[in-house]
This record gives sequence, C-alpha cells and structure tokens, in this order.
Amino acid sequence: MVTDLATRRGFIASLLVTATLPAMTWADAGSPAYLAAAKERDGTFSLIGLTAQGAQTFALPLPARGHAGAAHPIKPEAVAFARRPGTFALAIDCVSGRIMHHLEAPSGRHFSGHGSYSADGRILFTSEVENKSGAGKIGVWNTDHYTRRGCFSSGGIGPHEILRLTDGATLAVANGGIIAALDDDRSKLNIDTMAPNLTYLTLEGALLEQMSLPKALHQNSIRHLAAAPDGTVAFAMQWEGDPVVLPPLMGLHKRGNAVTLAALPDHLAFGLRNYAASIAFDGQGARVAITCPKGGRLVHFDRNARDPIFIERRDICGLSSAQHGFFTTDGLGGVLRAQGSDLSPLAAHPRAWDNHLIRI
Amino acid sequence: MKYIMSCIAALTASTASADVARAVDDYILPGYATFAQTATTLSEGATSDCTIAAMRPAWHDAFDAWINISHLHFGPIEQDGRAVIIAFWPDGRSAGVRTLARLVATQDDVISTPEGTAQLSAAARGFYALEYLLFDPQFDDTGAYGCALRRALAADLANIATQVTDAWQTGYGATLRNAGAPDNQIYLTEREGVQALFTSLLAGLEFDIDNRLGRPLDTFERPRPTRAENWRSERSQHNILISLQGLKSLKDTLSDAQTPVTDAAFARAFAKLEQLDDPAFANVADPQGRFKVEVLQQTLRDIAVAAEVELSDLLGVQAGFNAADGD
Repeated sequence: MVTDLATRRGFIASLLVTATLPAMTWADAGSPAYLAAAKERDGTFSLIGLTAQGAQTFALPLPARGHAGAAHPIKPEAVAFARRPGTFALAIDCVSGRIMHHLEAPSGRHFSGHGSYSADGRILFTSEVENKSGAGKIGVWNTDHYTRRGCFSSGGIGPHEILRLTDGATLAVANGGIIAALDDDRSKLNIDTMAPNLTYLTLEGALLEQMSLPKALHQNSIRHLAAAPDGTVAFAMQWEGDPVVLPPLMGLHKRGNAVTLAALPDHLAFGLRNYAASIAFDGQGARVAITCPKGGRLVHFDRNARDPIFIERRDICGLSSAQHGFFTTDGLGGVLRAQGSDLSPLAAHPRAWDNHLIRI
Repeated sequence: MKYIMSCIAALTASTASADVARAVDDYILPGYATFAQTATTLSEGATSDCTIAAMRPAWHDAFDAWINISHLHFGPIEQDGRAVIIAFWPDGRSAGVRTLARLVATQDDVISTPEGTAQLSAAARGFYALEYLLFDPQFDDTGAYGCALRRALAADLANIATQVTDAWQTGYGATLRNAGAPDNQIYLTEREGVQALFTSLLAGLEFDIDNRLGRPLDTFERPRPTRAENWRSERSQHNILISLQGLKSLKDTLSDAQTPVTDAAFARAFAKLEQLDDPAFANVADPQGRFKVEVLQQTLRDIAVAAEVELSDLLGVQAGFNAADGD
C-alpha cells in the first residue's frame, strides 16, 4: 500500500515533468487577462493575476517590491523584475506559484525593470544598464531554463521599457537617457546632457532606426512604450527639465515617419505634473492613453495625438488595453475601465497596485 | 520633531474616526458657496464701477474665499483645468503679464465675449491676472480697454466659481459624502473619500511651505522677495493666515481624533503670524527678516509632521503609492 502510493506519486510527478507541464497554458492559471505587481496591506509584495473583470485569478508572493515584468506568450510563465536598480528577476510558474528560475544581471549591470518575450516565447529580452556608464544593453535569454545567451547594445543610455513589435522581428527600446546613481534616491547624474531616443533593433541587435526628440526636449526622458498592430509605437515621457516648462508627455512614431507629439494647452498640461508613467493603446487601436499618477489623471488621445480626454483618478498608474477602452489600476486598490470620458470601477482590492500592468 | 512624534504616536495609539460628511457640509460646501458669492460680487461690482479703487476690496474678498478652499485639488475644480485658470501661480515664464500687456497694446477685442475670454491662456485669466491689472502700475492708465478687460476677467472668474460650486452642490458633494456606497463610481471605498481630504490637508501645507514661503526665501545667499505670491497686492503673509485657517477647518471637520500636537503647532503658527509684520515678505532680503519667515515655515512643517502622525489612521499605507514614486 505504502509502496503503491509512493510509486504512484512518483509516477504522477514524472508525468507532470515530462508530459503535463509543456501542455500547461494560461487557462491552468485561471485564465488571467492581466498581471500586476502589488503591495499588500501587511507590507508584503505579490504578483496578481486579474481577469478582464478585475477579479483575482492567483496571488503569488514576491520577495521584494516588483516593478514590471513580461508574460510568456504561450505558457503560464511570467518574468517579474525587481524594482530598479535590481539585479535579479524571477521566472515564475503562474500555475503553481513556484519560482522556476532566478535571473541574475551580469556583474556590473542592473535590470531596468522591463523585458519582452519573442513571439514564440523561446527568447526573453531584458533591458539592462551598465552601472558605471549608464550604457544600455539588451540581455538575451533562452527560456527553457532561462540561461543567458548573450547581449547587444540598446542604442542609448539608460534603457527603460523594451517591446517586441507585432511583426515579431523588431524590438523597440525606450532609451531614457538618464545615468542614475545606484543609491537609494536613484539620483540622476547627467540631466544637463541627457539625450533620450527611441531605438528600433532586430532581434539579433542590428540597429534599424533611431528617433530622437527635438533639441529643446532633450530632457524629456522616453521611458515607456506601447505598440499598435500597424507598427506605430507610442511612448510616454517624464520631464527632467525646468518645471515651468510644460512639455508633451506622449508621442507617436512609425518607422520612416516624423514623430508626432501631443501638445496640450497650459491649463490642461499643468495637472499632469510633467510625468507620465504608463502608456497603452485601446483594444481597437484607435486611442492611446497615458497615466499620470502624480497628477492623478489618465489622458487619452486619438491617433494624431489630438482630441485629449481627461479622466481624474488619484494615484492611477497601471494601464493596458481592454477590449473596449483601457484597463487601469491605482494605488488605492481600484481596478477600473476607462472608455470615452467614463471611468467605470470593476473591483476594489485591499492592496496597492504597483506601476504597471502586463496584458496576457 | 519626527522622533518625538513617533514616540507620541506610540504612546497614544489614537483611534481616529473620520467624518467626511461633516467636512463636506460644514467646510467644503460653505467654502465654495462663499467663493462663488464673492466672485460674483466682484464681477457685478465691476459692471457698475470698473475703477481699480472700486474693484480692489472685492478682489481681496474673493481671493480670501478662494484660498480658504484652494487646497481641495479634486472634483469639479480639477475639471478642464479650472484650478489652474483660477490660480495660475507660480508663473515662471511671466506668461500672464506678457499676454495682458499684449492685449492692452493691441486692444484685442477677443475679450468682448465670455467665449473669447475663455480662449485666453490660463496665465492671463483668474486671480493673478487680475492682480496685475489692479496692482501693477503699468496697467494703471489703460482707459476704456482696461476697464473692459478687468470686467471680462472678473466675469470669467465668477463664471468658473459658480460652475464649480453648482457641481459640488448638485452632485459631487453627495458623491463624496457617500464614498464607498455600492453605486459610487468615483469613491470606491469609504477610505478613498477620507484619503482625498487628508491628502488635501497635507498637500495644502506643502504648498504653503514650498511655494508661498519657500519661493521668496529661496537661498540665504539669494533671497527672492519678488517671487513671493501676491507681493504686488501685499497679501503674501495674509495668504498664509487664510490658508492655515482653511486647513484647520478641514482638519477639525474631518476628524474626531485628539490631535494635541497638531493643534499646538497650528496655535504656534497663528501666534507667529500675529507677531510678523511683513505683508509682502519683502523683509526676506535681510537676515533678520528672513529668519522670522524661516521660523514661520518651520512651524508649518511641524503642523505637517504632527498631522501626519496624529491622523495616520486616516492616511492608510496605500496613499500615494505610485504618485510619490518615480520610474
């Protein structure tokens, strides 16, 4: 009897390893539509799966505050990055909650908190920064055991978000331009000379194209990205210059074309506090939104960066596309849908949602 | 101070209860009503007598009413950039005065309709634009156009004040009062309503400390008296008094908690203001005068630290999780 059970357990275990695991899909993790990092009321941190209606599908503990991550396009796996300037990332099995692999940044570098999988999920790209120079690298990892394959230049200083475009062959990189000290304050060392850019690379690291902002906007750090199916990249910015200037915080760019920046009149721009945190297209690809947690606003624009619609919500930050409109989260625990000028609450959780949402 | 406060908090372990409805009924709604009333009086007064001398007292009254509630940075006042239009300060680019000078120089008739006036840049509307017109000598002799411009800006201001007040009275007040009710689309939990008000209290103190006091003080080597708010109308010091009175009302109506340290800090600040005689903060240019304003600034910091500790139950650990962050 005892032997039987033990054998059987062993048999099941071997089944799990050899047969069941590869077949696991996101349905096995409760079919979450989004992943989000959060701070719980007791001060601990977690990674949460959310349905499109804002309900929790799973909650997995994280050892420290997370930033963003990336979801495997097929398997129920996610990579969660430590908050910048973290040197580790975790590959997590979202069915069992098990940490599958620890990813360590190469010596002398740190992760910037964002990554992106190849379309088939076999490769993970990570955004990395050289501690001394701020030079940007893209780390390349095999995802079967999350072993490192190599790296290439990000095309700039201080890369932040990277995104594989829907063509499957292009990486867009937001090189924020800032050299940050690795102290607790993350103080910025090159504000006077910073020069952010948006870089397009092949998956092998060949430079395809670079977009830089007009000189007067060189202190506008390009940090977060969203992509539309037609290849248009939307980017969100954070202004490091004189606070009396109210620069555009959102831009749209398509390879081979001139950039379009979202201009706002002073009285509307002021409320955004020169800081955009997350960016997303809506489900139809017709509108593009930024969240501005310091100003407590979501603003969405048309595809020409015009017709701004403002929605007020304190500490709003996490943002992703929804089937209709946008899916968004805030530090008060709210999960909401924004469409037109309406903000509809979907759920209120007893936790603070962190900066970003990942759509699965 | 922080250390002392954490000891006090540990000893008293207050169980604060919040009363959002009372804050709405006894402080916010009456505050907005007075704002709308005084702004309307300013505009109506200008219609019958647009002279600078006649308009100044009404402008002061309306400005007092505004400052009393100006730290409430949420709801109808934040719609369409209204708060920025009402109070465009600091204006680091001097955009307001440049636009006003251009209007006067060209006798631009864009101000002949309310819609036209509403097209002006925010810097050239609201209280601070009117302050230029009423207190800066360069606008003393602007004749009939100056009169029309003062009337237009006063009417524009009254219009916004009335819209905001109506919105509070006909819906938003109830929404905040019923924070956490099942059909509440704006305040998903009761806590969110409390936090909106508590955050306003702290943000109001921070604005006084960093801007109203911090801008003229700047550095010891280079004080900047002409960066003081409303130095032209010499109400820089008075603004601190009105602001603190409003913030105290907000605190008192919002919470039943015993807040002896906060109350004592408020009392010290009011006493300092009583002793201080520096209406435009012009004295920050000499070391002794500067010291007095610095002491006042410190008492405001004491209020903020004390309120944060004594009312921490209202704050909740989650507030500002992303807003205070940067990434």
